Amino acid sequence: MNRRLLLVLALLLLLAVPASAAEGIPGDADGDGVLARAEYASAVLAYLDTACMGGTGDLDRDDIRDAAWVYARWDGKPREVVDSSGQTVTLYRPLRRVVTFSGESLETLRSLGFDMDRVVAVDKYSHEKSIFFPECREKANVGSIWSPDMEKVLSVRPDTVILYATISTAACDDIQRRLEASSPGIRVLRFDCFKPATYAGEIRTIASIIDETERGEEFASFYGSTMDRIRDGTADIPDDEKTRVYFEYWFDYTTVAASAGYNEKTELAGGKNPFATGTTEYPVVDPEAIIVADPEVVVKLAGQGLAAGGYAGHDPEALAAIRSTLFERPGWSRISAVEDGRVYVIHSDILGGAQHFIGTAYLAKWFYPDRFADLDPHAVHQRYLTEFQGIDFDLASQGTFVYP
Amino acid sequence: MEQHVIIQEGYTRLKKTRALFIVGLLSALVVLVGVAVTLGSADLTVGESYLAILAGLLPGVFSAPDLATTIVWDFRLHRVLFAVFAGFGLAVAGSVMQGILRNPLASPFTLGIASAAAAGASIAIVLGAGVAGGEYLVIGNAFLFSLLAALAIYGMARYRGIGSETMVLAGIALMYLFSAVTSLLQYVGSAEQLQAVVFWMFGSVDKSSWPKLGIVALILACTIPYLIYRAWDLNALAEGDEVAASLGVPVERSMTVLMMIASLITAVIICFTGTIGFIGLVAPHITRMAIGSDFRTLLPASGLVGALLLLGADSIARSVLAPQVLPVGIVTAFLGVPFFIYLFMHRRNA
Amino acid sequence: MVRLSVDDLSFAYRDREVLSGITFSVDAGEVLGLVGPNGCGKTTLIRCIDGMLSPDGGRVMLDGRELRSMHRREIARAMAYVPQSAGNRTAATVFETVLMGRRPYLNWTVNRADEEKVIAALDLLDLGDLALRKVAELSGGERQRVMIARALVQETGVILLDEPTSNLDVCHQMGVMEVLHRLAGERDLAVVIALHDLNLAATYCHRLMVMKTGSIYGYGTPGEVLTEEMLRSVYGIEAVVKRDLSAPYMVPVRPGSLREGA
Repeated sequence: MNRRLLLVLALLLLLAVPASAAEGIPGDADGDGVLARAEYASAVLAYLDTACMGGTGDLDRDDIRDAAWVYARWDGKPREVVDSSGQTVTLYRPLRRVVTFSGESLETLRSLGFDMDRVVAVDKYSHEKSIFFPECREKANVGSIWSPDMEKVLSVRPDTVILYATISTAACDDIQRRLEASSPGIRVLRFDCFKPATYAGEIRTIASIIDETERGEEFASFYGSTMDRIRDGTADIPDDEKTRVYFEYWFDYTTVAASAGYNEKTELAGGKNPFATGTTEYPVVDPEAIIVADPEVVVKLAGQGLAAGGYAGHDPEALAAIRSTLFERPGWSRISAVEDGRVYVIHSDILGGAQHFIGTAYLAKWFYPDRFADLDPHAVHQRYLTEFQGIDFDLASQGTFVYP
Repeated sequence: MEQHVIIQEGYTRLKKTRALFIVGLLSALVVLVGVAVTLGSADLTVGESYLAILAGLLPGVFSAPDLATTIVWDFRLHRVLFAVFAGFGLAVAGSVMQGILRNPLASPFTLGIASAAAAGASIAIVLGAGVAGGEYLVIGNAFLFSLLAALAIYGMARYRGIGSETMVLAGIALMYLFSAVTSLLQYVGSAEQLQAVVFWMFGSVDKSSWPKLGIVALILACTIPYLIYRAWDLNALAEGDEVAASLGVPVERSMTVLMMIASLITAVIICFTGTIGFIGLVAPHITRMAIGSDFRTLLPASGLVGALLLLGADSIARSVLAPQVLPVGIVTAFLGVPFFIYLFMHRRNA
Repeated sequence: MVRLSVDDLSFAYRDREVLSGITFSVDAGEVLGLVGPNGCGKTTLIRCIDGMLSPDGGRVMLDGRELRSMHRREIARAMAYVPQSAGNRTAATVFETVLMGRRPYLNWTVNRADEEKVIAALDLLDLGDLALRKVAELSGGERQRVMIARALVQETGVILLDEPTSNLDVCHQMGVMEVLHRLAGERDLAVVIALHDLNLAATYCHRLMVMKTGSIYGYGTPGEVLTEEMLRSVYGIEAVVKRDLSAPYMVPVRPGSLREGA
């Protein structure tokens, strides 16, 4: 026992943490943080000397490409970005090997035209989505935020890791801490990419990081125009005239309250949720209370906890079945929503995550069909998939996201 | 006289068997550590792993690829050692509890410590309230609440007279109290906080780090030698309170001190790992079946058995669903099943 | 020489007086039997003597020294206690259980001298063959002998026993009492035994002390103490006391049959 103790103490004293990726702009010989023209020129010459004429030097091809990029696009200076958690990250090179721990940031990168070959590892949930992320099958799987495979992350030698900013903070902070402790050269960026309040800004920030500002603007205005349309269309409705909505989560009689994202989207679409004041995120309500509240529209969420439809399957019958069980609930025939047939099923794939603008558009259209007669969520969805995501997915024959 | 010689030899043989058992356990542990360090999802060969260890210890003499050194020293080595120390501590705490409470089914958690730690962790996770900040918020709370439970037991038992029965009853009361608090917090918290609490309660060695290992090692280094020094008193207590007193053991004081120490060891381990069950229950039991209940050898031996069990369980946890890492507490919970079935089949009427 | 003396001992438990005015002494080589019906205070008295309980009044003197002033270890070297049944260490061997008796003298390691004392005690109580067996596997009588061996190894002048024969069959009862009687004489021990069986007590004890509701009813030789009068008064039973053997013994009779027979 004593001997083991000594060994441990010795080990603790001899912590050997190797330095990893070199900091600083490649080719910045005087280390002043700026790649001047002269420095760049001599770096290129040194590289050519090494590569073609047998000289010795420590800059390789990737270094020179990065130096060229920094010189041309960033004006020779490192780029500073502020991510969604407020931390300032300095980039000395463009992103070359990215690990994403969230499907939302991965999807956003794809919308912005990022070269997906530069994403070297993804989280396990994205890894499983073979229809939506067909290219992820061959990428490394780094587990989930709560159960990350740190060894895998390190072994793909990333230069950037993307984590959530405002949710799962304890877990994300922990991953960030461990990465920074063992490999100081890895940059950790925190982005949510699913919150209506921050997504537009995040699109532009990420676009600037990957030098796709044009495409970024395009996507941001595509996203923004839909959301602005919804906001403007509902801005002037007085509180007591808002459509009463009962939003049901995956589980029966479980609704959403103020702290839940789905409630935020319901209210964005101009709906009024009588149960918004619950203390927990997903309160279970008394069935009688629903009848008393007499909602004008009922929205049922399908998805993970209630698997049917989504990108995985073209399954309108399943969603239809869900809808009919709602009609058959005891006492529900008295509810306005049921009388008017305004009962809808929507899949979380388009209401949570980065595609929330599509789902919110559907909500707005259901709550106020006259005001949003010209809004076509289906077309928005298809454009998103074809033009921005670049996947071959025809909504007419694949996937089911809403019913009816 | 012949018989004298036979008895003498018999006892000497017994002592030798025990010593051999401990040496055997130690060797097995070294081997297991050697194997465990090579497990992981990074593609390192066995040779690379060992080279990395050597490179870290003697950087001038050996060199290994950077990635291997980082992975082994920043992720694997401290985790493996942490499992060893945690298993050792929990097993020793378990054997002390079983000795004091005179109940072979007692564990370090019998006095409600696990429930208290879970409640402390829940308070930190759901309410964000605690004594320390940042990374140590949950850890600090879990530790504090464990000690609170131990002190509460002491207070309650003192009021009614310190004895194994009063302690167990007090422990049950605390367990219910803290479980209720945890449940309430789970209900009130958001879905994500709930997930965090549940994950904490599984118990895992994932979050180990060199500083944490140092803390645990330090506490063990201070307490284990003392416990072994008090081994005779533990032996005496097992004979019964009155007999122990007549043999010169200060019964109340001993029970209190020893219980506090066992609680401290448990608290300092589970505040980092969450509640890992069964090691403290199963390890002493197995050891007792092998080498009897003299605490002079039972304490170190059950510690080694505990270390082997936890490291083994963690190695399984890391491999069975690779690349996903199962929380080790789940694997140890499954360990409990064959153990209890065995007990059930081989029950003797006491 | 007087090894143990108790002077005007009293003890109350929550307002209820359990013992009062207990005075007696035990010489070296003497076996004193404590008898009395359930609840008369035998066990409480034993616990006051061995220091588990603090008496409210009176003194206990061990070899002339007051118990209160002695350090726990000193008490352990002067007085041993044998419980009614074995403890919980089911995995312990006989040897190790008896070895526990050396605890007041041990530091941490056990040396040859200690081991030899254990072997000698095992010999004395005829436990040599069972030395390395587990205590849990032995019969009741054998287990009692193990605990007596442990008390012997403690090398004390006084031994207290709390109803050691209650769970034993007749042959083991007599065996244990025989051993105690013999050892008291051979080793100059003062032995105090709380007993249920009056005849056993009368046969093997030098003196008896009869207790009734916390105080002494009778104190003297068995011949003096075991009377029909005492049985009626303390136990409330009708019985005949015969004196035709070396020790008196009582014979229970069915109520009413006395008048018919004699």
